[in-house]
Amino acid sequence: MEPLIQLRNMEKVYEAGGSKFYVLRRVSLEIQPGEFVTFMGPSGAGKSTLLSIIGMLDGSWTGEYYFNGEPVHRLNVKKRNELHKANIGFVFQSYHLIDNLTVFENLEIPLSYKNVPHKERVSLVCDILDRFNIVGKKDLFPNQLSGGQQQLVGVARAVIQSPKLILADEPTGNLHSAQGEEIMELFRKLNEAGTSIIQVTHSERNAAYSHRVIQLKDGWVVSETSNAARVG
Amino acid sequence: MSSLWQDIRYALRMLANKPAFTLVAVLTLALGIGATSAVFSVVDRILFRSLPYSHDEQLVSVGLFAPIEPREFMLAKDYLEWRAEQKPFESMTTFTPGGADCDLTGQNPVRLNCALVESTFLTTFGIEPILGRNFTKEEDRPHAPRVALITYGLWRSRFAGDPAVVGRSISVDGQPTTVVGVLPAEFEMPTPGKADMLVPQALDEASLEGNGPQGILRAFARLKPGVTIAQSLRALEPLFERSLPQYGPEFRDGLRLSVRSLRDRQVADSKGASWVLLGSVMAVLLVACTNVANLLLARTNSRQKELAVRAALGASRARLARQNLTESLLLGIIGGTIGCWLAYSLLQLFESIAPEGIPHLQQASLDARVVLFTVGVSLVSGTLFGLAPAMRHPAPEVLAGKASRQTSGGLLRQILVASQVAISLILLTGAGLLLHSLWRLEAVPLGMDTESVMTSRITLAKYRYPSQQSQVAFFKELLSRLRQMPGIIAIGISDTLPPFGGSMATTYSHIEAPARPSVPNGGGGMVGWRSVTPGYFSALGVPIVRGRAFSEADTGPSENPVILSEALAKRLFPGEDPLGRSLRMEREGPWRQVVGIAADVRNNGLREPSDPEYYVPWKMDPAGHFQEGYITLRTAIHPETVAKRLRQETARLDPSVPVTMQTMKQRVGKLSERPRFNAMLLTLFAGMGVLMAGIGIYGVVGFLVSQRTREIGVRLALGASPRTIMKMVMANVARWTIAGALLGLLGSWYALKLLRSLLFEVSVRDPWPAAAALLLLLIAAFLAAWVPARRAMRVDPIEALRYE
Repeated sequence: MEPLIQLRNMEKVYEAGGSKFYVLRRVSLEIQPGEFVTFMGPSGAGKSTLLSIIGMLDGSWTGEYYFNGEPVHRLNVKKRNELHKANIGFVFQSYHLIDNLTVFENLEIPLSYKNVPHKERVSLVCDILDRFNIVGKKDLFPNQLSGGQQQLVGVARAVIQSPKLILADEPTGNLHSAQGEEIMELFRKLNEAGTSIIQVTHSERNAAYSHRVIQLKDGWVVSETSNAARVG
Repeated sequence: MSSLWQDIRYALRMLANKPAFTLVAVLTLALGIGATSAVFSVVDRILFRSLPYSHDEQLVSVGLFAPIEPREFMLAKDYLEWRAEQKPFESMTTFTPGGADCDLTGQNPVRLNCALVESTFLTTFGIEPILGRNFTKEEDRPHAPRVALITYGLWRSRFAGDPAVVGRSISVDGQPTTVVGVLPAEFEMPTPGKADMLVPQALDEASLEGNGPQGILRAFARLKPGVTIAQSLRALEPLFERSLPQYGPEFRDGLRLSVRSLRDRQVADSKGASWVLLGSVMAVLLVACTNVANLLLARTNSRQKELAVRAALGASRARLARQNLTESLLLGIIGGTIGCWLAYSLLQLFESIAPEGIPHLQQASLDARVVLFTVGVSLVSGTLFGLAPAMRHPAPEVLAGKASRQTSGGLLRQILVASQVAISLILLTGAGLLLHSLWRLEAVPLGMDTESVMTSRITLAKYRYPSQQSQVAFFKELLSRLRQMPGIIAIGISDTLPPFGGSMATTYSHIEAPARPSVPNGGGGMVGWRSVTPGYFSALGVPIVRGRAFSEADTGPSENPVILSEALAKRLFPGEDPLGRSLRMEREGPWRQVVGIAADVRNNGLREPSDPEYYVPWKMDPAGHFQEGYITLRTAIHPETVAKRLRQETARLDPSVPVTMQTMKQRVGKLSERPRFNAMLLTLFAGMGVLMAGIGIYGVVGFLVSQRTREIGVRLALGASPRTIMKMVMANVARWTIAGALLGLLGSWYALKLLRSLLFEVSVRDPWPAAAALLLLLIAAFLAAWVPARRAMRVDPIEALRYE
């Protein structure tokens, strides 16, 4: 089976004051469709940067990156953007819901960026509100929700466009343990339904939900461990 | 389409959620757009809009220029010859300058302005009456049956828009006159001044054959297609050369032929000021846009997270730019709408304070063209100030919770503020120059005392006062009645009145004095003269520096005294005593004895030096002009009270006589009205520029302080004193304020050359206005930076180090 993600010798460098600072060094890895992978490592290891690159938010790197067989390293910004829109959903540690938009509008926004017709958008948003059991919250603004509820909306927003891949950067970092568990359970269910997930976390407990843990340090991939016993 | 609507909806919500930001941005834009639209609506008529004549680009003013008559004129005889022989024009036409007061008599008499025009007037200007017809050639001859074309306004107001007015006989100056047509609503005369009715000029071609006096005409022509003004000038040169000998040698040297476009003639002295005002107000708009761009940049900075999320959710760069532009365009549209209302108010203000003679000001309005301009300005400025924030792309690391320090935004904002400082400095320096010039102009000594003086101009209708006797009798009777009024210190009548409005003139070389060496014929230029009653000098406060003023005895038929101005006395009798000397002012005139020397009076405006002049007694004289007179009253009570009494007395004597009244101060004030108007507007715009620059500086310093809060906290924790922090912030402000000021000084050096024609006794390189402007701006910048800088001083290091 063709890997969903294939990175070869990926490097990212910052230049500051005439000297080079490597954030990622010769990173090569493969992630299969339907896989749930965790990036772990100390602060400054390059986890979030790697996530941004895989999410195609960051285009300044060297090496090769294939997404579902498409050579991302050869695509221009527009095509890369299209690929990102069609296949990737994000979940952030700080939820990053848009403050001025209601729950309904926050869920609608990725669909509007994909030029989904209005009627279809409304129907998809209603479905997801129902699926995540947050219909009653649809007209509330983010500041009227608890952290857990905001992250729930964040996950719903990532899922609404049925992405092949969800990228989650410390998705439970700002939540208390019960809320965090709820979100991780949600990820597990999404993964079981076929969505690939990559998460960045410091939490061993969260990492236990994934199939594989990739350790990074100073920009290098230092180890890969398979999770024999997933939480379940 | 639905996504665009979504953008608009979100943009509106964003604006509503930040009321302070929205208010400042909208008001800033409204001020900029409002002022620009108001000024544009005025200068559009002067600079850009076509005149209300078909193919107006072909219309020219033709004639001669003379030093004593700065607008093209033609003598009737020349005109007839030129009209018959010229080649470059499709047609030529004339009218009599100044028109004539004419009374619509019969029921409810009313005084109108009648323009005496040739039968070719309408055809040359391409005007078609909306009802009836033009004059025929036969009607444009002496002693032809009287006919008239009435204006649309008169037709509506006096004849209730009745189409049957055509062919009807009306009474004009007591004579039956047939209305032959109604002019279109947009009709206007090619020279300033209003006309209610056009009547045939009826040039008496037969009487022009001899060498008798000829009337002055204003001539206009329509160029043949493809003929340029330069070509027409060359073609008329031989005709001009042939006409020259008929002018006296005293005129000939200064005469030159002129053909210029009708627009140039209409706007000649307003063009420079119009460009200056338009330029200034566009600069204000630029400052406003810069300010809003600055505000948007600051907000974009605070919205980095939101924009990064949108990008992560799939928004393309174009889509993000569109969202940003939608918000700025909405601001532009809201600002433009309020600006439109503001423009309307400003336009009304301009009309109320504007001096006379600004071409087409009365027609200036916020019509479709101006609204289109406003919409255009709103959209362009919306795009312009939205462009900078729209071009910025959010940094992905913001999403990872890391603070992104986009120094380019800060730099861009500093550059924008430096530009505001530069533009404001140019505007302030310009305003300073105009104010300095105005101060100089208003300090010019007039040679008379204008305090507590009321003047009144009275014009008698010829049909009611056909003879000199009846005219003189009217004024004498009025004078004797006015003398009875309480509170009158002195009262005088004159045929003309300084400091403008012209006077009678003779040639210096014509003045004969025994034992004075003769001056070559035509040499010495012109000498003005006025006929005045004995009370004139005391009423106007013109000092008699030697000898005496006129007395009642001087008005006897055999008395011929003369009073010379100091300048004329010095010129005629250098180093001698002129009192008692005899003079003949005209070749055929009587010998006159010099009885007094009056102080020089500014009789040719404030900018020109006092011309030599002399005074003769106001009394019956076949060469005199008594249909019009100026009454000057010096009062011990309020001039307005006197004005009321004067009007009542005149009405008691003849209720049909119109009276125009002004205090002497108002009359003199008119001379500096235009410079005052220009200075006032430029000062207003400069003030707006400085205010906006102040807001800009305040915003940028506030932004810099908030951006560097963590750094400030670290510095304070490491032992920096609040004073050091203040110095650090102020040094930063000083750096780009001074950079902007230097740029502004450089800009002033070039831009202010445009003001040269508007300045009086002030050089565009005058350093004081620039120094004062610089000082004012630096103070404004310092004050604007002070508040956020103080905030920086008070940063709590513990809080700051926790700051995200």
